[in-house]
Amino acid sequence: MLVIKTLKEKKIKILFTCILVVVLHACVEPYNFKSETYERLLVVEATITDEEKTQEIYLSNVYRIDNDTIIPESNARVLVVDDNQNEYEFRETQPGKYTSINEFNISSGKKYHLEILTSNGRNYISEEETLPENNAVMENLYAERTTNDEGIEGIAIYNSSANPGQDGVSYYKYSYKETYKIVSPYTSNRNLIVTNSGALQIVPKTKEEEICYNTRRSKEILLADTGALSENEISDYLVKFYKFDDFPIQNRYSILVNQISVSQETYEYYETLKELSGSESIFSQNQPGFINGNISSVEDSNEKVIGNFNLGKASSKRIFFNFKDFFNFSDNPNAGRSCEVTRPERFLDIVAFISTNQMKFYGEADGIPPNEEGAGPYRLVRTICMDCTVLGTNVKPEFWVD
Amino acid sequence: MFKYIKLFFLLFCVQLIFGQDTKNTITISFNNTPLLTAISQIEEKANVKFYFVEEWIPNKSITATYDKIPIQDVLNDLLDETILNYYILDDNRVVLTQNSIIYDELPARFFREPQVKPSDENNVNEETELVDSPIFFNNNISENKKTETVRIGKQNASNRKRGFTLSGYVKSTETGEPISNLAIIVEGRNTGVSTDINGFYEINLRKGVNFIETKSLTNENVRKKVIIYNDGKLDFSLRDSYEMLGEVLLNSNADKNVDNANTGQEQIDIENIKNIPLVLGERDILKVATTLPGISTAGEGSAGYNVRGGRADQNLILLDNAVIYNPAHFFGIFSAINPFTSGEANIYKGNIPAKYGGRLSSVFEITTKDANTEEFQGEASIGPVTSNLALQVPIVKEKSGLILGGRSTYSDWILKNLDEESLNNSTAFFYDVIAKYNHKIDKNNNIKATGYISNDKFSITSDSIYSYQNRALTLNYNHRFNDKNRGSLYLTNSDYQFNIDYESNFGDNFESGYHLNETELKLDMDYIHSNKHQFNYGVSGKFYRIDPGEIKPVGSSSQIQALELAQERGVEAAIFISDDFEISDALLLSVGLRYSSFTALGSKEVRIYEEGVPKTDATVIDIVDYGKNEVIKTYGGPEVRASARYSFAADLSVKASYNNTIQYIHTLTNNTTVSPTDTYRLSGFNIDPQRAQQYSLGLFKNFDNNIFETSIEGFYKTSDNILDFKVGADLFLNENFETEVIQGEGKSYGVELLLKKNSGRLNGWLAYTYSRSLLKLDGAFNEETVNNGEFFPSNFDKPHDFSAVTNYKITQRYSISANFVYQTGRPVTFPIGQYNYEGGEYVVYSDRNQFRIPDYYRLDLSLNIEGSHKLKKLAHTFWNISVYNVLGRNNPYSVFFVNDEGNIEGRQSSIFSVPVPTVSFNFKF
Repeated sequence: MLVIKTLKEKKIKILFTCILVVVLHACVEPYNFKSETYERLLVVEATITDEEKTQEIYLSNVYRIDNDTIIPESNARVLVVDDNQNEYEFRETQPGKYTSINEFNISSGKKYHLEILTSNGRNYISEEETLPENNAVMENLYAERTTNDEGIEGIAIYNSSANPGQDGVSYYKYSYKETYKIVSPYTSNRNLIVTNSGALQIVPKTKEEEICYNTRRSKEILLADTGALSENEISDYLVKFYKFDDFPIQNRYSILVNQISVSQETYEYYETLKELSGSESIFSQNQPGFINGNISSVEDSNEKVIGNFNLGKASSKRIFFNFKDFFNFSDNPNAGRSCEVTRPERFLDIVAFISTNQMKFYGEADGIPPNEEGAGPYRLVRTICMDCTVLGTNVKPEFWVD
Repeated sequence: MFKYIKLFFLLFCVQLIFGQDTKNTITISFNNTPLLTAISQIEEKANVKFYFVEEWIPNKSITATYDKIPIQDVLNDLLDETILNYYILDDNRVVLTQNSIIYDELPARFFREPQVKPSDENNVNEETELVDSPIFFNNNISENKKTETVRIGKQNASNRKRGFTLSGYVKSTETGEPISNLAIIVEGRNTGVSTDINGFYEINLRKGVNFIETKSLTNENVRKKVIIYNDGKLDFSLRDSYEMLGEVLLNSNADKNVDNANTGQEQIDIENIKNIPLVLGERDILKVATTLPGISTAGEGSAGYNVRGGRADQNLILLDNAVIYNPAHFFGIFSAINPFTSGEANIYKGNIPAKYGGRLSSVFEITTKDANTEEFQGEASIGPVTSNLALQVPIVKEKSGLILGGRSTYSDWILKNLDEESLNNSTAFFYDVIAKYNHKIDKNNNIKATGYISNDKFSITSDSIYSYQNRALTLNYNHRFNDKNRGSLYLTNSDYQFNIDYESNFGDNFESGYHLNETELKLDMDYIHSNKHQFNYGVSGKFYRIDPGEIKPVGSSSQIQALELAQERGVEAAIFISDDFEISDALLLSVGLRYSSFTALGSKEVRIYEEGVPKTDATVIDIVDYGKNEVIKTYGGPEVRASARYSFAADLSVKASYNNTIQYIHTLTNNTTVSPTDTYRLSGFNIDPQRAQQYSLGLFKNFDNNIFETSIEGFYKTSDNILDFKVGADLFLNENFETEVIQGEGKSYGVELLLKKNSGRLNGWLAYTYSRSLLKLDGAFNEETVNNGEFFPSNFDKPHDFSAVTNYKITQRYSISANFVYQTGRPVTFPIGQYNYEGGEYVVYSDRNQFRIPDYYRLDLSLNIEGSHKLKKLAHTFWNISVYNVLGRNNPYSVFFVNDEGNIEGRQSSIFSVPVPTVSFNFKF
């Protein structure tokens, strides 16, 4: 300490900062990886529930890391078979998507398994599964204004579920479909187009571009179990958190949450999948590897098959809320997403912006002298600020309640 | 005080030896008389003639009065504190010599058979003393190059033994501290010993003339001609050799490497590791160990060591005989062993002595220094991240002392004071403290006590704080029964725990932790049967108590249900015996046998699983309830520790060994490297102990008077029941972790090359290891099989591992050091494909450890500046200016893949990817 004090404190501080940033935060950088080997493995996505409906099963193949195209597994024969040898046949309705020919549901007490015969003649079969003994229902899905761990305000969506008359641990998997309303900050009932001859022309607008809706399916794996919780019920399970300035919650928002109560094995399968895809600690790394599911190849027991045949009890709930139910609009000064009006001067610039759909017509300059917007004849804004169809659909969903 | 005892001792001896000659007394008085004058006055008064060279006589004045005192006594008195000795040729001729000889105990036989004539008149009267001479100290140039002659015992026709035991004690002339690790070598023969931590040694000599030599880095080297006729004693008092300071980096036992029978034994010269540049200027014994062949870490800044292809939990790390479970700070960037208080560090990676057991791969035996019992000493170091202070406090002069060492980081304080917001919530704090008390009751009895504690606390994310703590306590009583029998009794207690505090805004706050405690009682006996047989034997018992995990809610809103896993208890017991059997000068056997057993004790509910199906919750067929301390299951077995050395010449030997080991405690980890939440669990009904066997063969050759040491060693090791885990296993807070365990087979082999130069301006070592470490997980079921049940590289399989540690001394005070490390990148499991699953994108992984991260290399440089060696200077200072990773090589620590918003992205993390400059300052007082 003696030495330290005699030196200039500031310099020391900088040195320490560097060292500690190095020590504590280390360096995480992108790593470019070329996949040298590739195996085209079968991927089976099959969750059958107790709801009477057309059940769906998806078949695809593993694709190369640097290649973004999904390879569907087409022309397969897919069957779910119960222990009375009742067969529920599936038919391919879209590439890789198989839907049951008839509506059916899984009933408790019976055993079911999955059979797949692919077009190249390989057979796959799952282990026998039963519906978990469970009376779980979603009781309360609600949104609440709160702060996250970083202290940022936002809206959290929680779920509480009851499981009456059930002892022991229950396992749940959640998924959701969220739909949010998009309102364009700028509107106009006219459009500027580039005609075939290359001229600019103002025409009336023909489609709805002010109000749209976007629907997204959950990508993350959401799991809950009652093991570490005091009662055999799920209370205030965090399904989703949005920061106050996140785009989906700026207007009206709706979420449909599906709860499926699953077996311990299914839960563990998803848990491992989630763990291996999650972010890593710098100082220790989970051992990754192949996750064994309950589907295997009949011909080659060493062949890896991805996916699990799951049976579950389904329950779902939908809620709606508005941004202003929790916040004032002034709480988010950043709303508007940098929607400035500009007046490009050069004709060719205007043609380029319009023909590439980068900008949209907001109005004519109408002899307004050159100002901070520019000196051109048309007032343009970025397309995203004017046309919500680039962010969603202008068709109002059937379930939507304003 | 010490001097008087010595004088008394000497007088006593002299009187006995010259019993027949003591008629010659003298009455004389000196008053500030110069020694030279005093000698001539004695010549006159006693009618004797002195023969000497005048220059030898030091400028010393005498004031004393003698009344009818034997002339020998007077001479002893006068020549005390000089380097002069005398020979009395006959009644009136005295020869003065400039030599030092000590003779402090007579052979027992001499007293019993006084009638035996003092044979061999020609030189039996030779009797001199090595005094605690301040002359050495004052002129600082006196050298002791001449070979002195020491006679031990008397020739005795009735004694037909061909070899005798010479034992003694070596201390530093300056400080009076014992000198440990000093090599004592018998020239022309292939033997040598080193002094123990207390400075004692024992060596077998052949009857008659032997030349023995002391070898040390830090002290002068002394050569003596020892004529031995019986068992006896020879103590040394050696001056520090300042000119040697900092020259040699490793191993002061000049030819121990060639001479002992152990394969795979390494020793770290703790005093000299200060010259080795290490990250952030921290001296680190264990980090230096990783530059030796066969010892590595999984990655830079990762805790845990892999010895000869073994897992990190297979090392027994002992600090004064107590186990330290997690000797790491800051996730492993620093080790938690204090380098200032440590006296000796031995690593056994091949032949493990029979007295140690319980781990498969190695023993790290670290001993704390005994405190200086004569004067107060201290050493401090100030570095950019930590400060370190070590004190040696004499309690009772020459009897007892206390050594205290403490180290702490100020990183937490710095973090709190930074403007950088992202770091304000971070915590990184650690300290370690050690205290050792040593008390010499008498010549034959001493006691020692050590207490150690280390603590770490850190948080990387704002919602959780991790902390862990090691504690160790040792009580040690050493007793010397006689020349042949010695014993040590140890009572040790080790404690390791960690805690996790989690706090978030979402109603699931908790506190969670793990706690291990073990207590061992061990008796360790040495019996020197003869110069052919030296036995070590003993018995030990260890009691484990593990609270494997608990979690409890924090705050009233937390919905976490409290859970506490049942305590695990067990007893590990062992008996052991070993014999160092010298069949001939060339062939030395070290044969040890250990029988160890482990008993898992209740109370516990033990699950019995159906045979022939995977162990899962669904395949439990019975649950058996065991009461407290009721025996659940016992494992055990013999462990052979056999090693042999055959010498072709004094500096060339070949060694071979066979070892088997059993381990009853295992870490549960599903990380590829050691993580702070790894837990240790005991073998039990469903978990078998790990077992290993190792064969090794080595060739050892020294060149140029042991200045160069070279060795080549090969090993082949197999192990069984190595614990591994299913992919994605949840291990913490898992009462039934056996459902996640795969027990597999390990195999490792390799060749280790070492070239060491121990002295000279340029010194250091080059180490190269080629080794493989493989694992086979071939369970009966798919989920217990990895890579189709074939051998695959373990997480720390690094075939090529090269280290160079060098130091070049520019002047007495300035030296530069450089380290260079190259290692094959460690194996990793990479994604080989991608798929969509329920809206998300996921990856398929390759076979386990099919790929490797890029190779690792690093260069470190340092400049070391010693303070001047003036004796009067208050403190001895040492500056170390170093740059770690000079080349700025961005060595990946790990490569991993994250699912970021559904996109798979590769990430590489590295710990020290830029050159890290450091200045640290040390001083001794």
